[in-house]
Amino acid sequence: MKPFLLAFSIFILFSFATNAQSSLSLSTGISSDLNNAHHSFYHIPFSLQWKPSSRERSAFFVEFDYDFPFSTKSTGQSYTLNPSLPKEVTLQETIRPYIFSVSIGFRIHLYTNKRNNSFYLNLLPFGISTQNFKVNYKNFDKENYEILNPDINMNRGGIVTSIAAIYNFHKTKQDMKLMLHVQSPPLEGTGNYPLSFRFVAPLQLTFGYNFYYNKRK
Amino acid sequence: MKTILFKIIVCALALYLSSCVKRNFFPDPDDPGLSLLTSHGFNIATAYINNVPYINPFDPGTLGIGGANSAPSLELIGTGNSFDTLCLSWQFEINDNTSNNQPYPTISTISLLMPVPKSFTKTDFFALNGQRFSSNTNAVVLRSYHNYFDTLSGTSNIYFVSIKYDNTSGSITNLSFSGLFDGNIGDSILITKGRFDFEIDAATLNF
Repeated sequence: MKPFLLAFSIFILFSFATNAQSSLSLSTGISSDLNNAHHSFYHIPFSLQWKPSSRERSAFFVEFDYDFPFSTKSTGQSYTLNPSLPKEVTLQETIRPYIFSVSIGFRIHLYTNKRNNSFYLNLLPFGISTQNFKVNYKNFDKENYEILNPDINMNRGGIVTSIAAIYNFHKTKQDMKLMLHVQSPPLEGTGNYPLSFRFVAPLQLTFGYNFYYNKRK
Repeated sequence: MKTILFKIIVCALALYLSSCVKRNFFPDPDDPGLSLLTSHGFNIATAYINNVPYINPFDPGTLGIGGANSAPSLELIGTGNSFDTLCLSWQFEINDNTSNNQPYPTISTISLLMPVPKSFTKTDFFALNGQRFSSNTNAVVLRSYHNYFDTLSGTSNIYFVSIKYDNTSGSITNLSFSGLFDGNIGDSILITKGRFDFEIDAATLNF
């Protein structure tokens, strides 16, 4: 185990980004959730990566992610004391978690093939993420009925960490990218009130474009 | 100097501990001052009485340790009639501070009364799960003490939305039940949007 860790450490220390240019990357795709068993949260992620330095050995970058949610359906039970109304009604519940994250990290060059297409590993050890859950019960008669153990809106944030595998391709410019990115849920708890969902841990598969600028000669 | 420092540390610790105590009160955004309807055994009960929100009080404990919402009592009251009375009572006060750390107020209780057979058992109580009872059979009683006891009674609707019990040890231990209630006392007092979520030790029951 120790030789492996040593080799991995040396590999990280001496790895660097081969693109000696500053860059902006935009990508989008589809995202699923790894942290909720009862609900399947799906999003359309929008990812912006900014690598500010054009130095060859600098692999530092900043990443902004916004995940636009699809509605996730569930049900809730509501009850009334009014004898002229049905005593129990099942309601359709929709949950929409909006996610915004800012992370910093560095990239490790793994491999470049004969066509100059390259693989990278992005490590983002520190990020801040907010997750804003919007809950709605369709056709809820709030005057006459009460929902048992209802989900409620929640807007919380916390520290996250993430990792991504990148494949840059398209002729010699490598200006297109395919990215598989997984992010942890925020470390913050969801509070004392028991909800039917937990924080989202998004697994994103995105496709996008790299804009290179400030090329270093 | 050391004594002053010691006192400051003790006071700061006491303040810290007391600030840690949070009661199980989760406000309903649609009904200000009331809690959500839950079935988690939070020992919380809220209702509007003439549109003013009321809640069972919170005991912050000693130095912030052991704080809890005041518990209800559930008992069978014998009568000389063919039916006994199932009585669910708890203390209540105006919910004018929804955060925490409210001291006990002057004694006030609300009781929901239901006629039950004299052979009423725990099993019969579990069978109330999901049942709604109209006001022509049930009563509500408000008792308060301000220099003298004042008792007011009227009619009540009760709905046991959820009744659960812990039977893992082979005998019934924790009993949790939640539901809805409302009531009228004459034309002057209207109880609306009542909801409770209680958990009690089944060994304390007298039926």
